[in-house]
Amino acid sequence: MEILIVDDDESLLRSLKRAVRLLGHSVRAAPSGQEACAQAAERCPDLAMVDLIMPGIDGIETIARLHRLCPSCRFVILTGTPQEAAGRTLVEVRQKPIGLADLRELLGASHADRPAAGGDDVVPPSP
Amino acid sequence: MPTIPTDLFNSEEAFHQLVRLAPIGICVTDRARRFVLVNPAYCRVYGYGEEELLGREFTLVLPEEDRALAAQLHDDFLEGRTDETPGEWRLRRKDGTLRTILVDAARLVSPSGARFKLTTVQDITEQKKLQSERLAREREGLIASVAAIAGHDLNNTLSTVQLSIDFIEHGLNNRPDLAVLQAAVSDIKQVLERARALTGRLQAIALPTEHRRVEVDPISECRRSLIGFADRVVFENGMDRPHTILVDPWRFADAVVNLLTNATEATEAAGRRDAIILRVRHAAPLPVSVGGRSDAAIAVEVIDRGVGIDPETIQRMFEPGFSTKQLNAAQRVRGFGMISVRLFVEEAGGTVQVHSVLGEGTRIALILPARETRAEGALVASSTVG
Repeated sequence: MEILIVDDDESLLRSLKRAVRLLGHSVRAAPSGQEACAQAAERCPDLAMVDLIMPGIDGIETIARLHRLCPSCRFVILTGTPQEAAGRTLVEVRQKPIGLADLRELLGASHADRPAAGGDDVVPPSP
Repeated sequence: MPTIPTDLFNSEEAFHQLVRLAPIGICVTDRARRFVLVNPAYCRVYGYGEEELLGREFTLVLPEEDRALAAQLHDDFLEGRTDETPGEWRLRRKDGTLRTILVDAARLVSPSGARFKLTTVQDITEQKKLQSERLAREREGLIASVAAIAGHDLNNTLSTVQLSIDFIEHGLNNRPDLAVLQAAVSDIKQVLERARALTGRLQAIALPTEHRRVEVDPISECRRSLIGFADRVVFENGMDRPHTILVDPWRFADAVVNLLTNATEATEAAGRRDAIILRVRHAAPLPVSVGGRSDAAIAVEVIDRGVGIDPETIQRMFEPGFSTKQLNAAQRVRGFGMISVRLFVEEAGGTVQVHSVLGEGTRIALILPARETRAEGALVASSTVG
């Protein structure tokens, strides 16, 4: 699976890249929403993990733009402040801190539950 | 005295009425410090009757501990040794209640050449109360913002540590790629360092400011704040006479670092490589306030050639009562710096000046009350690095 990670925290970005690679996926990283869109324009990821609070465009705006570029991409918001996402998006929200086991479960689920492409909802609401 | 034609001032009695009915407290004292005139408003402020005051020494209306200083100021002013008036002052009324008053003065000379002091007083207790309530509310907003930042940054730190440790554990149980394990260890160290700085900031906010204020040398505190900005910031010492400021050193460093960080980001956003200037210089003295007896002021300035700040944002940053709840999540987490700076400066009795031109650059000056360092005073730089 091709993963794109978007987070303005450089140390965390590196750690996430390492972990995702360890789980057997190919991964690209972007430190901002703008950079993420540039990378997605070159090649669409299968899954994008996006931080919510970033300078420049925030996570929700980033996902909206990425979805336009890559309609069949699955999105997950990875954030330390899930309450900021409440009511603003139907995208799945996962709370930091996240460990290797959580990541494995998150990425493993992707293989089984890939939704059909199309429609404005990026992914069904998380349970 | 020139007046427009009216019968109001036809008689001398009219001027007596002026003083009698003025809604501001007025008194006149002689060189022996005795009341020779008190108007009804003055009597109301202090809670005494006119007959209790006339002919008596003015210090009787002041608390015991203030009398010596007040007498000294009175004599100095009357004799022309100083033009300084107390400004804000605290008084205890006859009924024992504490009020805050605003005092001003002028010198009178009678036809025989006798000198008198004319003093006006206004009760500003309510205004001061509103002001401190506003500061308390803003402080609450600031604490909420700090909590948001702390949550955000600590979460990232914990995430990095957790992932890195899981990674190392996995490596230890399987085929360890030492170079990659090394990288994970290095990441842990880096984020822990950042977390340490954050806890320092939290502690600075948590404790009541008044208890943490000490006299510090602004020059050495500024130099200390330059660590980490070494190649991008130039320091200019514009002081020809050493001064000290009474501040919480942690919050002062925090304010300077905030300004330098904003200036750095603004310069990078403008695509320029100009150095940022951090300058300390003398400034015009601030109006005197309660408890403070500063005779001088300094300015701590940060000047950059960055993108500039638009006027609306500047206004919002300095709106009295501007609540951080009005910021969106990203602004709260990232942009609360200026509010923190403003609160720090206000609590220290100073003001912030912002001058910015979009596309060209920004100059932000923190004006702080200061005292000239006396030769015999030992000046020890505080240790903000714990």
